[in-house]
Amino acid sequence: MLQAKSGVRIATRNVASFSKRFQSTSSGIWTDFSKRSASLKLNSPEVKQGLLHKINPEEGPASISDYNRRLAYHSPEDIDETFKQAYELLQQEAEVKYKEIEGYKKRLGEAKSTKEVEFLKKSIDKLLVDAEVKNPEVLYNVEYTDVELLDKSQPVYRHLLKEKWEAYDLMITMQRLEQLHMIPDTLPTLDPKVDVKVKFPHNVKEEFADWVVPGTVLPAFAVSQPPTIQIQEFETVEEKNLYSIVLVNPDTPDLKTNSYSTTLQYGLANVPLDNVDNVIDTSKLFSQGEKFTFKDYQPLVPEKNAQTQRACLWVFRQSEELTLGDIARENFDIRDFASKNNLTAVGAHIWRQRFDRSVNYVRNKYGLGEGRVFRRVRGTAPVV
Amino acid sequence: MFKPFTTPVSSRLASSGAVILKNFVRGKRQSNQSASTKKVVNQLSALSASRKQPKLLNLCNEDLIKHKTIVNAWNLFKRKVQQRKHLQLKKQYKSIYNAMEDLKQTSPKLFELANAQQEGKRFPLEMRIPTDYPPTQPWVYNYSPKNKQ
Repeated sequence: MLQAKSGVRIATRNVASFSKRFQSTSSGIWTDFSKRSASLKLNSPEVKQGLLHKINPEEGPASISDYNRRLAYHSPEDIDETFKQAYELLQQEAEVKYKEIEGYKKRLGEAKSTKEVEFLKKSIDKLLVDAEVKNPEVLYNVEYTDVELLDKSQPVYRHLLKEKWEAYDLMITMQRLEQLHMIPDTLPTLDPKVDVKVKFPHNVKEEFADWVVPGTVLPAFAVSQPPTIQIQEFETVEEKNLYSIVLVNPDTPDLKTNSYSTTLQYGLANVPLDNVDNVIDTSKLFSQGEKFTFKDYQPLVPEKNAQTQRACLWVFRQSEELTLGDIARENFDIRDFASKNNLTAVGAHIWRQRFDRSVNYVRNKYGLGEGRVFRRVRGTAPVV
Repeated sequence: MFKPFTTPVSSRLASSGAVILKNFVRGKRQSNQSASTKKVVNQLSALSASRKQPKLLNLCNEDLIKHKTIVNAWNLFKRKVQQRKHLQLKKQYKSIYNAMEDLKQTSPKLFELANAQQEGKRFPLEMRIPTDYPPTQPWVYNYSPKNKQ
């Protein structure tokens, strides 16, 4: 007990003396948090010490969790000295940017026309991004910490997240939308502006509880409850924007015409969201769900031998509040719906479903009765 | 014996048998590599190509961000140097332009002369093109101009 205590004391003393030795004396704009948001800070003190000053050779880098690997780690030669110079140079550049921002803010106070105000606000946002985009603490936060914990009210985080989104998630989404012909089967095209993520939080299995990758085939039990939808805007949203969300199934079998019809599975309208408050989750649905929902959620329940069905989720940005009448679930015309209500699609998501053994359970739960079983029918034309 | 390049290969080989004989070495080949070099070459030839690649640097997260920051700063530095150079050239051009405008006002005759086409005057080929750095051989001591008569 005593030994352990003294050991701990020695270790802490070592860290303290080390950090004192390598503390840089400079205090620039990036270390001053009186005007800047605290969310631009790197939270872990050990990692911050290693990043901004020097990695303690006795302890190793804090970002490596394995003890032996941490001790075996060696930094490249002279990286700390070079980094110090680089940091000073970039910080000086950021200081210039912050001075410019102050000038713009002064002009913003005196501005009268709305056009000028808009221009100035845009310029300030751009400068705020430029001033922080090379800050190592910000870069570390975006690269190695949980994206969901980042403060999306900061323009720099939104800028970096947008770059990340465009580099991977957006490409995946657009590929799936086109390959699965959600475009142009539901709406003619999409100019993506927001990152739309979907998950079904009622699932216990990790396989189905996480964010859904666009195009995944999901079993009926995994989608039996309304999804949580995250709509991440990358532009600054000052007052809350209104969004409508529509989930359609363009593959409902239509036996009369020997074709398919579109069914409305879920409809939300007038959902106010902004940069930070950007999730439509269960708690929000519980408290304000009746106000938003114009069509209750009904999961896709593909019947036996019907082909794989697509659940197409479209997100629209509204220009004004909508007043929607009663809309029928069957034979839903999404193009007509969008043009009549003056809606512009800003994001989309897709998953697929086919008949599986949980379909009957979900059908019973939603009172849909027993499903049909499809079979092939020989045509009237003679076989040649 | 000179043969044109257009003749077919077989006939060329037949006619220049002497050349083949000259390259032909009977018996054990003698290489001019030392024994230790040969050993290393043999060892390397037994290894696959991927093992001969330089080892990938496994940097920790902190050092990766440090590296990125250093690259950012270096790019900023280079951009500033470039901007300074550009500004300098712009100023020089403006100054030349102003001087010529001045000359045009004060003495149109001299301005004409200064702008006259210089036919036949070329940059001497022997002269070195102006560069940022001195040549590797700064002075040629035994230089004699080509067409000195």
